[in-house]
Amino acid sequence: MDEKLLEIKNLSVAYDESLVIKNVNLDIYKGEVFCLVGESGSGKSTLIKSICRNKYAKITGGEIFFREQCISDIKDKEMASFLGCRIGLIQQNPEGAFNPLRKLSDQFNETVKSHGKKLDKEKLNRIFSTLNLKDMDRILKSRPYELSGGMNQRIAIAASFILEPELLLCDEITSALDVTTAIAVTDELLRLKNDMNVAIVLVTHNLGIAANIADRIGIMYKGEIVEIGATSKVLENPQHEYTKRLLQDVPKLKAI
Amino acid sequence: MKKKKIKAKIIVVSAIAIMLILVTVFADFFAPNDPYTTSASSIRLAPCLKYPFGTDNLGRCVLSRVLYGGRTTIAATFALVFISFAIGAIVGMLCGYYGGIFDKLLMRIADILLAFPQMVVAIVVAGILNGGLGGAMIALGITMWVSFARLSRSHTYSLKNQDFIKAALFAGKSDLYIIAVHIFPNILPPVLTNALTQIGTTMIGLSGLSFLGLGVVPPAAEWGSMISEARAYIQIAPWAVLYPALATVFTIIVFNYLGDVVMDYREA
Repeated sequence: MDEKLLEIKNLSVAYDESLVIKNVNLDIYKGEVFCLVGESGSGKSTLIKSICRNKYAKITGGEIFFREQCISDIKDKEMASFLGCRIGLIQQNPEGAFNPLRKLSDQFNETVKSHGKKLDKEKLNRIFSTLNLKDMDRILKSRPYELSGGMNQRIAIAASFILEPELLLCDEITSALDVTTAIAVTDELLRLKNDMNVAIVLVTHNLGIAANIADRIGIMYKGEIVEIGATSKVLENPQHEYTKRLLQDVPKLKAI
Repeated sequence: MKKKKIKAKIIVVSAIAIMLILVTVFADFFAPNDPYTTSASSIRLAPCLKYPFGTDNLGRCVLSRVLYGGRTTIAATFALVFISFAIGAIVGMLCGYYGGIFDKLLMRIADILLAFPQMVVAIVVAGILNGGLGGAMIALGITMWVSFARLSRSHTYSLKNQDFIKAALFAGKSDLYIIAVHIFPNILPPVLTNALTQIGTTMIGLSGLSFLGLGVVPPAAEWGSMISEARAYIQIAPWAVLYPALATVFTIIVFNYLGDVVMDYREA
């Protein structure tokens, strides 16, 4: 847990003129699950986007290091060798991750090939079965538009794991799914993470999911990380006003 | 369930459409007489066994002329729709994908073309080009590509911002590859549906121009020009107008309906 994978130093990010992330410092360690929680517009997704080079999210200050190499000011071409292979990304909308009309086998092959690797069917099969995706050959023969959202999201997870990244950034990956599928997908994600020793940064507004799987939690509010620490510490003994409010607002089922 | 019903409709309508195309393509085989042979002894004959649709002012067999005319009308329509589709889709994809000045310029041109009624532009252009089938096609094509371009541009625009396109760009794929492999197949269904619905309108346009004497010139058989020729003696020989008119109406209804059911199928 002590090997530093990602280091964000005094990062500020802006869309056009408006500053969305202010002076954020964050370290991600090897093999941990870190959850970034906050309301809509707090800057969680922007933080992920700025790590992955979104052309709209402009870094106005600070630096990002991956394994002690600065990745915030290298060229796009150099960055391409990091993305996918070493830093994976899964987005909120599973439909957008794939070309809806192209066979998944072609898309998997292309993904792996563009990183100079060959598709290892056995490994993919292992990943698929961990993700509860049965009958890999049939799935690979189908096209994404024929499959459900939950299935597509699982396949997107499989696509990022096949490249064996060291760090996986997950941007609201469960918010387009129903509750049971969301829990199943995060459980499977955790199993895969344990198999392959990947560090995961999970952005979510669902505190329940964060409490379930995170080693550490960061609370984001108005572009700043206002509280950060071990999951149990943050949830049981919140320090910041906003965290306390957030915890109070979690919907609870009334006892029947 | 609803989708199954629509699918059955599509099969029936496209079977009729294919039959129409086959009948006109093999007009030599189906036509009872030569469509161009005039005969002084059989002028304006009412429908009979030898001439099932009667004869026209020059004694030519109307049925044979309707069949051969269908070949001209349908082939020209398909060619025109296909060319407009190709030009429109390419322009639309390039505009949507690259944006910028190129996009703004072409879309303003498209706006200008859309501001005029299609038929008015077509009449003017066909007039300048002195008629003829080629002239009529160019005249209609000038405004036709616009709807394809607009449609494919807007679809390309929304596709361009999808994650898989961004990923392909980041992985170093060329623009041409992305347009050909990722964008084109995804904009195809809506643009193709639009092409189907355009077939009927194009047919009206082509026949209309021929009717006005700006399209196919006699003696070549074409439905519009046949109606135009025969309307002078409509009271003496109504069949010479009736049958090409019926053929036009029927064909347009079939292709329009085909476009409609395919659209319904996509939306269901």
